[in-house]
Amino acid sequence: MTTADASPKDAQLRRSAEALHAHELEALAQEDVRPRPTQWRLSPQAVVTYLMGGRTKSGVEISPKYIGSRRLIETAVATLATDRALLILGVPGTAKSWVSEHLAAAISGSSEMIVQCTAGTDENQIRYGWNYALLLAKGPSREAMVATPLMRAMEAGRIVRFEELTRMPSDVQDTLITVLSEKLMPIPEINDSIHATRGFNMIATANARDKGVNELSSALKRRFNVVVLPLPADLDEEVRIVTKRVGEIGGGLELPTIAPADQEIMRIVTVFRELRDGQTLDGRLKLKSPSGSLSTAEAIAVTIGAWAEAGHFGSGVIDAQSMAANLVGAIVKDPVQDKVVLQEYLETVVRERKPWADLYGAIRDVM
Amino acid sequence: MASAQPDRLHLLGIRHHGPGSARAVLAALDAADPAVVLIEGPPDADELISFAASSAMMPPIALLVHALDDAANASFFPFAVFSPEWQAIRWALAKQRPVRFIDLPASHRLAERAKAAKQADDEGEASPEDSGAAAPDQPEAIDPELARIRRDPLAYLSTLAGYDDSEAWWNALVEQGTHGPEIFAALEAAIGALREKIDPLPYQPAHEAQRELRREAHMRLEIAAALGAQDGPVAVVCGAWHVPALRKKVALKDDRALLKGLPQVKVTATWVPWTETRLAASSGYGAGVISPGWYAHLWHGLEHKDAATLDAAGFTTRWQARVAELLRRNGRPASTASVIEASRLAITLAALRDVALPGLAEMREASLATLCEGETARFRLIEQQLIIGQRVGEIDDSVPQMPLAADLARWQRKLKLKPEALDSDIALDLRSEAGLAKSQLLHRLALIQVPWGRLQGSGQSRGTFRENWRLRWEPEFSVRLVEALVHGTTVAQAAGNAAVTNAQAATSLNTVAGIVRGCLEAGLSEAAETTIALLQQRSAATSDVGDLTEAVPPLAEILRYGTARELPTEALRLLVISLVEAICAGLVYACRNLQADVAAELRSRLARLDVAIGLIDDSGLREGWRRALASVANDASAHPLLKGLASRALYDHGVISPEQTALALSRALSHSVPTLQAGDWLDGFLGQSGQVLLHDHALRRIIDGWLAAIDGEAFNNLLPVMRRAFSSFDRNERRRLLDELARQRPLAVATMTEAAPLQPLTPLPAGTADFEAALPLLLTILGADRPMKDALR
Repeated sequence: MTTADASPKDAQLRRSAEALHAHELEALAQEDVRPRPTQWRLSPQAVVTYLMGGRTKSGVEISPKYIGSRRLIETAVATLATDRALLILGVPGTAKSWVSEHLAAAISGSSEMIVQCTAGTDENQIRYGWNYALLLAKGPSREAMVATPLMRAMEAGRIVRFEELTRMPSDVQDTLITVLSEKLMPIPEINDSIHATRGFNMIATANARDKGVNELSSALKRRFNVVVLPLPADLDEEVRIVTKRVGEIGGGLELPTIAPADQEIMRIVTVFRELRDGQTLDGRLKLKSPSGSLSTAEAIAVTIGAWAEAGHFGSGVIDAQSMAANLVGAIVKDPVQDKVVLQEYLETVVRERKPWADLYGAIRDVM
Repeated sequence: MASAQPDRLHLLGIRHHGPGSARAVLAALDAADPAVVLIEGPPDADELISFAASSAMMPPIALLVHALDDAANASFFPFAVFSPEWQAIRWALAKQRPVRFIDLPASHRLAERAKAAKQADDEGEASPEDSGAAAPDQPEAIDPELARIRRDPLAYLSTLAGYDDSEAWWNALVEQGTHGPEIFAALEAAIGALREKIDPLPYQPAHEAQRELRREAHMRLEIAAALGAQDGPVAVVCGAWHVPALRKKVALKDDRALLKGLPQVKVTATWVPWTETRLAASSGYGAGVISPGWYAHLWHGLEHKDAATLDAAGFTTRWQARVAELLRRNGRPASTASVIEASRLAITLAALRDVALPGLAEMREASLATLCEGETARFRLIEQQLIIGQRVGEIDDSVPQMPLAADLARWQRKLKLKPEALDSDIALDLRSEAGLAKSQLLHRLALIQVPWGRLQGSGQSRGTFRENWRLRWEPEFSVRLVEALVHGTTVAQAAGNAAVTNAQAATSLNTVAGIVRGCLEAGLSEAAETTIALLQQRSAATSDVGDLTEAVPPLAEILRYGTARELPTEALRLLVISLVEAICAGLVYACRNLQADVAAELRSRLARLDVAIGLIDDSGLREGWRRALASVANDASAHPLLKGLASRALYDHGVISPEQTALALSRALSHSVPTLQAGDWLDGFLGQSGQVLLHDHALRRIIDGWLAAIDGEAFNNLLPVMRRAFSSFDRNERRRLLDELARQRPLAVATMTEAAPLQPLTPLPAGTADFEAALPLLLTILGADRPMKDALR
């Protein structure tokens, strides 16, 4: 059940998870013999397989969507299976939204019931709005109501996603309390209420580190099961994630094909990890950390940028030249402090690494 | 042997401290209904088995077997409530079947260890003691992988089967309904195959391999004897590893030959409390388990139940409720609603992972997502208490206990001090009767080397009625209690006698004084009087003032501050007085003909003593001390360092006036005195801190005046001496000293610090000329020239 989509698939800049991986979902559903919770497209085990990757019995390859701890994903899926809402926490760029999208796609077959929370989100955008023409003409009634994604998900028994939950004010967050604990949304205006159908559940994502976020109301937090997605455990894992995502995004963006750049990705991730952790990988040198979070997502963006630059303007190979400007842009978020941090890193670490001489020169040129 | 009627022999191979194993053993025992139960354990403790039937025996407890003549040479055999051995014993006792231990007697091993210790002693090496390694060095290469398989073969088999938790694997095997002997037969086949592969390999040191052969031989002989003695079935509960070896047909005489001529010592055995922390593998216990707390929960949750009657929800909820309780106890909110959610999540996770029951991993992840709201730190706070536990076992009163342990148990009950395996802090108010009694008990235990409580903070009862203790019970304390038995049968008696014995054996007066103090704090007045008398005798006999000086300060502190306790004050006062008198009499002689390092040590002791004597409220005593100091100060051949100290002490006490002090100073530093001696004197006089010079204006004026008065040549000669005396001050003190001087002559110093030293000075008002002249050198002396510039930079 996807929303009607008039535009041709190929013109769409980014296709939703369920469209992109339709054949995988199909294959999993066909062979899935395990019990499924009501309204679930797949059994919980199959959902985990969809996220972590694997192979179905008939040999269809399932690509891994999340690279990291299987146990975390199992906890997340089990949470949704208990009808408890799931809150995914983590620092920026740890694939929170990504996981939430794929979970919704695998469970409900649709990842598009989504509320983007902002400081301007008010209760009407979460619960229901009114069609004022009808409201004036007929008075309050079900027809005069404008459904929100939450309301539609409750009625249809699907997963609704709340992105960046903590970006909306705490008092608006509290609107969700009754929905979560009683699974119903009262409509006092017409002395009615909407009862959630089986299969309804909620996935919210939030990060506590960014500026401009509100406290997560504790009453609400108690109603969620919380899964914290960590930063990638080691260099290899992070390189794998970046390589995979870059391949997917680059393909989608129709970037010019270029030679594989595993070595360069390794360098980008190394720079990111060292600056983020405040020490070199071998643990010998202590470094200052820049103000940005330097997440894996940003490493992916840098690589994509370098790819685009190399493909369109450069030698056709990701090299130091094409990486430098993107790297500097990602690291230097505060023009004064971060510049000092990067300069120090350049002189103490990059210069000492002999094979990195090209990168040293390129970054110096940019700065 | 067994081959005649193989059906009668039931070999139940188990995993030590495995609840799954324990359950399977019970099922197998019910099925086989053996006439005799044999258990892998020390036959030395056979008489103690019957006590296990008592409901007052609360595991974790252990059998302690130790050499009769040396309690430190001991072995422990711990049992948890979920140990298969413990459950088999309880089963046999309940059905009134004979039950025996069949392992190689501990007496052999203890004898070997005693021999090894003796050898090591003879060779002048440190004895290996409890390390268990009899051979001092092991050149053989042991494959750690193989050694791990040997330690826990079931864990290895479970990893082969794709489980990372051997109990989960075992549970999966047992819970699937195939109860009884089949499981043991299957396991036997698996271990048999495993042993065939690795037995020829060097997976353990040669002497241990030898010991294992003997153990298995002994067990085989015992099994054969049991089969021969009666016609009923025989059940043997032993480590799964041994089963194939016990099944093997070996001629009786070969086994007997293997056991011939083993060394032996007389041993005695008893039940002692054990701790959950020591059941954990993390404590270094070889057969330990990862999580005693979890295993206990598994055992209680699943006791006498099979998969059909299993109450998974109750099982899960009880665990999560414990998590919540611990969280609350640590000041974190944890609601009942969250417990319900945690249980639901754990059960769903288990279903998702295709396991019948939530395991430790599922429980942990569920607690983390709900009760801890995703915060790992919150879970870590309670992890140790939850996973490992802090319980200490209890022993039935009817068990013939070592009298000391029994007495301690009585005190623990009376004072409501429960032994716990993790650190717990208590604060005692010595004014209250209960607080004082607790403090005395802990002090007494310290005297017999059972440091159950360690005194926290400054550790001294200086002027306070409060004591802070950190308590932690270690199973070894049971051994120490046995060792202390030679001193007496109650804690008080043993502590008193141990104190007296130690005091008699002590070589230094200082040690004796420490023991006296310990006795006083422990409220052992008889022992205190005896040791005080002993100290008196010793001090009369000793001529070493150095020793005496060390003994006084701790006693003086008790006299002055120990008022929260009832003390035999008079005896103590007399002792201190006599000690001080002895010191005063010999002080001058003790200060003569000393090496530099001895003098330096005596200097610091005398400084402490001076403070201590100030604490004692006795004017006659002080008078004598001052006289002694004066004679040192004026003695021609006393060490100049001590002379300096004495002069200073006299000045501090106001015995000599500033004028006299100035005279003494100038005398000690005159031309004729060798530079080195002059330096020592000044060093002793100034002490090791510049504080006094900073705050005592009179003293500063004395030195200032003396310095200003000497002529240029003498000054140059004294320069190195001065440098040395000031070098023990730290830089801050020197800097502040200079500031103080600068306050008196502001302009001059301001000029000086900016200009290079020894530059011509700007003209100054008359009257300060003397100071100006001395200033450049003063800066040099104070070490303030270079560091000053550094500091100003």
